[in-house]
Amino acid sequence: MAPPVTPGEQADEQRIAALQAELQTVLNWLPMDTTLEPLERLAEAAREEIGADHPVTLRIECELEDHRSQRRPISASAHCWEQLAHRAAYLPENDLLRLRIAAFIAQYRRRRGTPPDLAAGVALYEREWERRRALLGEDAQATRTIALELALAIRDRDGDGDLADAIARLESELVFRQRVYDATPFTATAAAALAQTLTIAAARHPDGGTGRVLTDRATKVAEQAVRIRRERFGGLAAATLRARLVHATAVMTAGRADEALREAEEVHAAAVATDAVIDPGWVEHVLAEAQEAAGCPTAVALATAEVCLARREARYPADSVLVAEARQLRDRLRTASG
Amino acid sequence: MGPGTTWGIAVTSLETELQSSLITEWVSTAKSTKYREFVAAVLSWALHYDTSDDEPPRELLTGNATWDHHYWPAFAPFTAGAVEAQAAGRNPLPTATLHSFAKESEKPVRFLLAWKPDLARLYPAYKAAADLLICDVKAHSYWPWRRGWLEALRRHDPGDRRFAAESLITVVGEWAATHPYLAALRDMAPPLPALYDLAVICGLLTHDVSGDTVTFRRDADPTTASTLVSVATRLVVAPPRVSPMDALHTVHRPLMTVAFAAPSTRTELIAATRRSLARVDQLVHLASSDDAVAGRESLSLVLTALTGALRTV
Repeated sequence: MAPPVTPGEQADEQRIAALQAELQTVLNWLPMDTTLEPLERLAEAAREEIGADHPVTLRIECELEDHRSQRRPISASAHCWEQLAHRAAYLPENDLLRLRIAAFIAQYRRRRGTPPDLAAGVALYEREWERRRALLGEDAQATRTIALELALAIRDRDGDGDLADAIARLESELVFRQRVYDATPFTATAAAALAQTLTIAAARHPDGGTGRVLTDRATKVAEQAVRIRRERFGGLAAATLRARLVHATAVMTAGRADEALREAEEVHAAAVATDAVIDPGWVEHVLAEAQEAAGCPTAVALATAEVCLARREARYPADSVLVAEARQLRDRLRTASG
Repeated sequence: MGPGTTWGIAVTSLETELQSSLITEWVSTAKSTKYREFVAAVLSWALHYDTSDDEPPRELLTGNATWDHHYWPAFAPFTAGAVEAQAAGRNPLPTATLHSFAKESEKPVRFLLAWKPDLARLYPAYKAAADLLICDVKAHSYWPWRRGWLEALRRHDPGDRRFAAESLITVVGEWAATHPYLAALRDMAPPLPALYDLAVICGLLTHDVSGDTVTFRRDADPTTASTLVSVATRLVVAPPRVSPMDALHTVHRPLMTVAFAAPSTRTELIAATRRSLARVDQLVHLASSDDAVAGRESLSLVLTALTGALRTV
């Protein structure tokens, strides 16, 4: 029968609804500012008014943690997500918030990026994917989100056959999203992921037709991602700049170094000017490689590579794949410059 | 100066405009205490069914047109399911009482529509007493969400009406995700206050300060605007059940076209430029401090970058 509602309880319900509405408004606002103050203030208000363990408080803190995690060393984030999972452990196992936190745990494990982390990342995402398929259905957006993350985790593990497996998964993901979501950012995410993965595959076929076919397709798919994001978010948005980095890398791998350099320079300029939230060192890595490929003075590319290495070292563990990659680039340029 | 020209002032006045709009008056004053208690009672039923396991949402959320056959008991007296609901012992109020309340529901809404006939264009779904009751319950349920949304608008002053329209879609989306049964009723008809607010934000309707005259702009297309909110709601509530933000992404282009007849990325461009200018501001301080040389170099880099970046947009 009808649950008895006391006046106090109802006031509480109303306050909870207002906090949820504020959260949604602030989420729209966040990409426009570099400070997390609005979200922090909201989390503080929620803790005070409805309690630290209320699901809505945890939900707000989950968003806050997501944004904080993009701006600090990866290894610091793993612990924070574990703590949040601990606080949410009282919720039903199938609660969407718990699923979401579990996905973040998988994400930050994978992104630590040492070889054991990469293997563990695949296992964690497989488990999350199975859970969501059973609970929400194969085609629910939340399930599809994890399907893409799983494909990227498989790609980054890079065991025997992993790269081909990842490409196949991303191809089918893109087909599905184009059909159901049309030209929206959800589709652009799959396009960018596929383009990036095709480019990695192309780089392993430096000569001959296979590489050409792969880079052609990568370039086209990356263009699609750039187009969608530019249209929705504008040319200066971090999401658009990230898609352009994928595009520049594809173009560079196709041997069009000058074009890649021009694009990398533009993205670098925009990223510096807007303090865009882009994975630290990524812009510099693409720029340094493009400078090298386009025949810029080695000293210029070396300076860029030094910045790339410093930023990645600040973000990732010393034994991660990304730091190794940046160090390799720096060392190669250093040798070349004598 | 038009809205969005003087940033701070424009948004402050938008929030004030929304706070003092006709819809605020309607929801907060146009009903008897008894009637409002009744709506609150129906709402508490709705909330109960939104969270209970009695009827699993998946059975309902098939995205087809049979929503209204799956009424929860509080609404049953207004539908063919009345007898079954009573037989199942799930009817909290005598049918006669509900009908008399429905008449009362009719009064304020009909009054509002008769008083401001143009408003009916926002909400073409008024037919039966049940429609009016559902409209009221949705409005009542959405009201605290609107309060939170206005509070956030007041606090964050992003400087663009587009932002208010965008965030309204995600707030309605989150409301719908929290109350999927309620949101789904009457083919995802959005809460009337949300539609009214959207019309105010987009300048589709004008009313003078006293609120005595409400008219739609001659070229306004409120039906399309209201359809967009319904589409976004359906995406959140029915499969593939997207996030409110992705629902916004999906309707974003038509929303901007309908509402503003202008490029859709203006909000983002303004935001990016403001962010850059904030950096410039920091660097100006640095350039005039002890470390003047480094500060000026960075300042020059950022200014060059900003010019270049704006050119590439």
